[in-house]
Amino acid sequence: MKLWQKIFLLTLLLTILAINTVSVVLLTRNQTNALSLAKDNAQMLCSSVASDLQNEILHKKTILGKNILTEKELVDCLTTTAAELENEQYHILVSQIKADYGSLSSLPRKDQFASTLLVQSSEGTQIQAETTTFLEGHFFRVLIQYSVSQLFAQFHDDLLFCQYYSGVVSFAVAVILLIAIMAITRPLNRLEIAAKNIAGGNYQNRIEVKGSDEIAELSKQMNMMSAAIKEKITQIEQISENREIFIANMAHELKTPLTSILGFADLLKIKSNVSEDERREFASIIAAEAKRLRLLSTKLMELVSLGEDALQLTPTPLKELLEKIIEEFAPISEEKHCMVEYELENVTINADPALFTSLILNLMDNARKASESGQAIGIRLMRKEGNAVILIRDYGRGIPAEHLQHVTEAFYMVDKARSRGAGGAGVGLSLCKAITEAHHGTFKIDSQEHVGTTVTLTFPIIEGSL
Amino acid sequence: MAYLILIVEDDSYIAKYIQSCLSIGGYRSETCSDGQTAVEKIQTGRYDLVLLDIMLPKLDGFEVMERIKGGETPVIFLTALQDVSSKVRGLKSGVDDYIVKPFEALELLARVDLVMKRYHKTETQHHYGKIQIDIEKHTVQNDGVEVSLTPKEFDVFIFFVQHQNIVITRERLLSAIWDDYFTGETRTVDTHVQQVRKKLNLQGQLITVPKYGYKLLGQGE
Repeated sequence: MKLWQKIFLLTLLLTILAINTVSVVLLTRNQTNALSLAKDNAQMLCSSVASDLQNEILHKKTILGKNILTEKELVDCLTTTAAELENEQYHILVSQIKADYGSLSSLPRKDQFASTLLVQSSEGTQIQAETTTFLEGHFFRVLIQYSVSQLFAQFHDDLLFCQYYSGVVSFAVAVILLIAIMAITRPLNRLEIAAKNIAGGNYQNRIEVKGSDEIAELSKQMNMMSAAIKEKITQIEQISENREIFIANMAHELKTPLTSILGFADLLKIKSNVSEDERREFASIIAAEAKRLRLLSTKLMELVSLGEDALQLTPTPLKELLEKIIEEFAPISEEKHCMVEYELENVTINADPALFTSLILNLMDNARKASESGQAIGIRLMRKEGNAVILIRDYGRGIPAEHLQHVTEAFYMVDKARSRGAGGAGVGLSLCKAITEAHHGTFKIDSQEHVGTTVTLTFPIIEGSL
Repeated sequence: MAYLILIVEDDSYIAKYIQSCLSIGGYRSETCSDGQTAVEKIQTGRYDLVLLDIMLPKLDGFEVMERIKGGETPVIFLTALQDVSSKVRGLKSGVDDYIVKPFEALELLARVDLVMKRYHKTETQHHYGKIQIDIEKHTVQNDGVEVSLTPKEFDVFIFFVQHQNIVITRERLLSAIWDDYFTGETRTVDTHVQQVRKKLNLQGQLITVPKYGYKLLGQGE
């Protein structure tokens, strides 16, 4: 059953119940009060009638000038008086009590409350009030029959009217309630449609927000949810796309050297006559491409493991580490007559020495490859604004502006032929960036074609260190 | 008449490898390493076939195809992309065949030969020593005397003549001549080779290379 139906039925039932209960309770209370009043009246009447009868007897005695009335005179007098006192409301019965003395003492006296009784007979409902009076030596019972049929009839009429009336009112309430509830719950329909849209993948729609009640609040939240989902999904799609591109590039970079290796090996196998030169050439190519594959797989492993392991960072004095790296690099730089000029301050950061070494060597090697023979490579380590800053600079061929933002993408090569010729696969810089970020640092690269390239690495210094 | 093939490939090692392969099949070749130069060269009409890599600088393989549309030079795509959608896209762009790297030399040659046959009048007359072969007429004459070969024996002999001095495996012969549906014994290959050897008296020339296959020694080498 739908919500609006539930609310409607519940409210309607409660309304009907309330109306009926209240009216019945009221009417019953009225009735009870009325009966109580009637009872009091009957009682009073009974007493007063008893008094009147006594007075009449005295009166009669005075008129007749007697002291004692005969029984007949007494009964006559009483009957007449009773008849005079009666009216439509009540009926008076006076009867002589002839009983033995013993039981007489238990009868009510004039100065006591008359007993009352509610009696239903074929003539209607009456209250009977009874008392006993002692007249001229005899006991008489005075009985008042107070009719209350009217009251009961009224009560029944009222009940009927109530039912009829509550029926009408309930119907009116039902109609109004139905309209009101449907109007209020209509926004829920809109919410349902909006939710369906989102489930179906449409994150564009926004629900109109009217007013400020709970449903409006919910609509607002749903809109925000829709926007958040869309953003998340776009992010995820982007990541997925990046991943696909990475894998496609990687596959290509793997297949290319493999093609050469398999190809030349196949040629060596099937050709009968292979000249000395050819033999050497083919074998060199196979070796070179195999080395390239080795380099690529090493770099890739590093990239992957960077993503997975939590690095072991320990306080590392950078000046000493860099001096060691420069020394290690010396033979390579000398080969190309590239002087390494350096200026190092004392700074300590949290680092993984092996990875950090790999990072710096990589960058220095890039600088060397970009430089001409005789050009210098500059390295500077300094403390700046609470950070350790490393600058690696070359004065070589530089990177064209349009490639600059892409160079840290995996497998991106500005000049494929040259990179491959030098044994590279385009993974170096993305690895460097990854290592830098794993050390909580930032990686920045500036370059101008034919002028040179500067790589700036910034790392947080350990608190309170030298 | 040696055909001239243009190799468009930016990796110099692979370009060199392809050149070596093609020379085995008797083809001449030139190389170029970017899409733009490739378009210019192809439009000169000097080439009988183009081997085109897809991942190229300046213009990629597909863009090159766009620009030479309507030309008469057949094109074979050479690429590392082996997913179905790339293949479909490739074939739809109008290439005549699509080879996935890495490939074997003889595989490349087989495809090249096939496309050449489709587009150009290939040699109908071949000869090996005193043996004359007419491909159109399907006849073989040894020193003027006609030799009767079954269709498959004929194909086997032609294959060897076209790929002299190269070790050819049984598997290679099977897939080249019987197509891949013959997944049976390589014994059949052996029988056929022996028959050809016997009928044409090639005992010293069509030799068995242990563990590998067979080889037809080249003329005067």
